[in-house]
Amino acid sequence: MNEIALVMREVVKRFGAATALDRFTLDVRSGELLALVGPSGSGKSTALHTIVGLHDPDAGEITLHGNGLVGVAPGARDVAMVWQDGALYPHLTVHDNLAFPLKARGKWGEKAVTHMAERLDLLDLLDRLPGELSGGERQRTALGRALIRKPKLFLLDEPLSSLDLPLRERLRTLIRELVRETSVTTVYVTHDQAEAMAVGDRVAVIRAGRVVQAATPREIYEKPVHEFVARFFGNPPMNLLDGCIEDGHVVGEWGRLAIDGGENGRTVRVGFRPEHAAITGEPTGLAATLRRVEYQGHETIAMLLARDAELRLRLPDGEALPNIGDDANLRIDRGNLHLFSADGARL
Amino acid sequence: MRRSRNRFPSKYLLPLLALTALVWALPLLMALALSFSDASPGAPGHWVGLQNFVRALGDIRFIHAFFTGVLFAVGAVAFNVGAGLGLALVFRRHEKPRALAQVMLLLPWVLSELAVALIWRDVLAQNGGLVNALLGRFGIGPLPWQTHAWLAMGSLWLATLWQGLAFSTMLQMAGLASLPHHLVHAAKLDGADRPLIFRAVVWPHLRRVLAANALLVFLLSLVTFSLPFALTGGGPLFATELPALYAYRSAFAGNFELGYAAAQGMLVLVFYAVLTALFLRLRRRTA
Repeated sequence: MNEIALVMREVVKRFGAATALDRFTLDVRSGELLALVGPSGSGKSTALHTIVGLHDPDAGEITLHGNGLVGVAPGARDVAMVWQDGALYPHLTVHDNLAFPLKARGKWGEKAVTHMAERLDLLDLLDRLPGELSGGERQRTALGRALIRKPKLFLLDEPLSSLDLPLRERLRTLIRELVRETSVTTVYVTHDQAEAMAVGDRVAVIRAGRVVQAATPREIYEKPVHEFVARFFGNPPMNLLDGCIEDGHVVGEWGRLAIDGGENGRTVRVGFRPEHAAITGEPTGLAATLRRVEYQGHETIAMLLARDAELRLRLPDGEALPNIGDDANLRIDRGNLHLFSADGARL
Repeated sequence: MRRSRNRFPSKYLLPLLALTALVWALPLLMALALSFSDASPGAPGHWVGLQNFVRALGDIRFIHAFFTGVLFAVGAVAFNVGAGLGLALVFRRHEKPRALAQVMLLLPWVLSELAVALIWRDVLAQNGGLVNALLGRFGIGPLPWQTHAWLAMGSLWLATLWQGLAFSTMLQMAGLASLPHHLVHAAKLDGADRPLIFRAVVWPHLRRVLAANALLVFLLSLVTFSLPFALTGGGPLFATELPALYAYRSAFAGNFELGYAAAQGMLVLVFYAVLTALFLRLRRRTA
C-alpha cells in the first residue's frame, strides 16, 4: 500500500452558526485518485477550500507529505485545482493560460507548454481565448494549467458538471489517464455517485461535513457501512424495508426475509439491491404486486408494491414477468441482504 | 395578436418624446441657430454664416480655454479614477470601513457644484483657510491658492475630486464585484503574487469600467462651469478659465455676444462627438 500523502484530521470549519466540516477526517494515499462524493451542501467544496487555503479551518490538522498546510499561503502549498467552469484567465490565450503557473513561479519553459498542449490535444488552439473554446476544450486547458507545474496535490471541484454526457465520459477517462501518468495525488469532488464510482480508485462519501465511508468503489457498493451510503449508490437505489428480528427473520407488514442470526426483537432496516431479487414460482416470505415495468433494452426495471413498501427490481431482458397487477414471489439470497440498525449503521 | 397590439408602440412614447424635444432638442437647435448669428440679449441678430466659428478658431483666449479645459479634465480623470480604483480595492478587502466611508463619500456628491466651490474657497482661503492653517503648523506656506496658476488649477482638481470620488469609487466597486472570485483563487494557487494577480486578473477585468469611468469624468470636467466661476474666477489671469466660463463671459459679460458664445459651445460639442465615437469604436474592437 502506498504511503499516505494528504491527511485531514478532525477538521472543523464553521460559517457563522452553520458547521460545514464537522471533525472531517480523511487520508489520501500518494498517487491515488480519491473521489469525494456527497449531496450538495454536504461540505465537499469546503473540504477542498481548506486544503488549498481559501478557508482556514477553525480546528484540526491538514498535512501534505508530513508538512502542515494550515496557515501556509495558497500559492506556497504546491496544490493545483480545477474548477467547474475552468476558471481560465479570460484575457489570456490557451498558451498563456498554460504558461501562467510557470511564469508566476519564474520557471517558464516553452517546452513544457508545448508538451502539455500536445498531450491534451490543444496544439491547434494555443492562440485562442477561453471565450472561443468549447466546454470540453476549456476543461482540457484547465487540466493542463493545473498539472503543468507538477503539483504535489491535484484537486478537482465538479470539473465535468457543466458538460454533456458523452463529453463527460471522455474527459473522465482523460483525467484518469493523466493522474496515472503523472502519479499525482488527486481528490476529485463530485455530487454524482456514478461518476465517483467510475473515476475513483477509492471513494469517500461525505454527509453533513463528515466522511461516512472511504473505500474502494466495490466495497462501497457491496458493503456500505451506513444506510446513507447504501441509498446514495446504485440506480435504482437499494430497496429498504423496516422490520423487526424474529427467529432468524426480519418481519414486517410486507412479509418476512430470512437472515443469519440477529438479536430477537430488534428494530432494523433490511436492504437489497434491485439486481439481487429474483422472481420465482414457489411461495417465499416476500410477495409483491407488480405495478409498472420499464423496458431498458439490456434489462428491465420492475416496480412492485409489498403492502406500502415500494420495491424496484432489475431483471435481465427476457425474464418472464407476471402481468401488471398480479403478485410475484421474490427470492433474495441471505448473503445479499444488508442489515442496518435504527440509526443507520450497518449491522 | 401581439403584433397588432404593438403596431404603433411609438405613439405611447410620444409624450416623452415631446418632452425630450422641448427640453433637449429645442435648446440645442436654438443654440445652433444662435451660433450662426450676431445675436445679443434683447436683439435677435442677423445671419453671419461661419464668422463666429472662424473667429473662435483664431481666438487665442478660446484656444487657451479649450486646452485649459483639457488639462483640467485630464487631471480630474487621473485623480478621480485613480483614487476611485484605490478606494474600491481597499473596500473590497476591508468590509468594516465601507459603510461609513460610503456615506461620507456620497455627501459631497449630492451637493451642488456651486456649493462645493464655495466650501473649497473657504477651505483654501489664503488667510484663515483650513488647509493653509494646517500646513502652517508644519511651517509650510501660506500657499497662494488664488494667485498661483498651478495652485489654482490644483484647487479645482481638489474640489472636483472631493465631489466626484463617490461616483468613481462606486463604478469601480461595481466592476470589482463582477470579478469572479475563483479567478483570483486560481491565480493565488498558480503562485501569483499580488501585483501579478492585479495585472493578469483584476486589471483586464476592470479595463472597460475604467475606460467608461475615465470618459465620463473627462466629458463632465471639460464643461465644468460653477467650479472655476465660484472658486477661482478663472484666474489668476486666465489660468483656470475653462471653456464654459469663457463662453459665459462672451455671452453675459463685456460685449454680450450670444452668437459667439454659442459657436464656442458648438465647437466643444463637435469635439465631444468625435471623442465619444473614437471611444466606442475602440471599445468595440477590444470587446
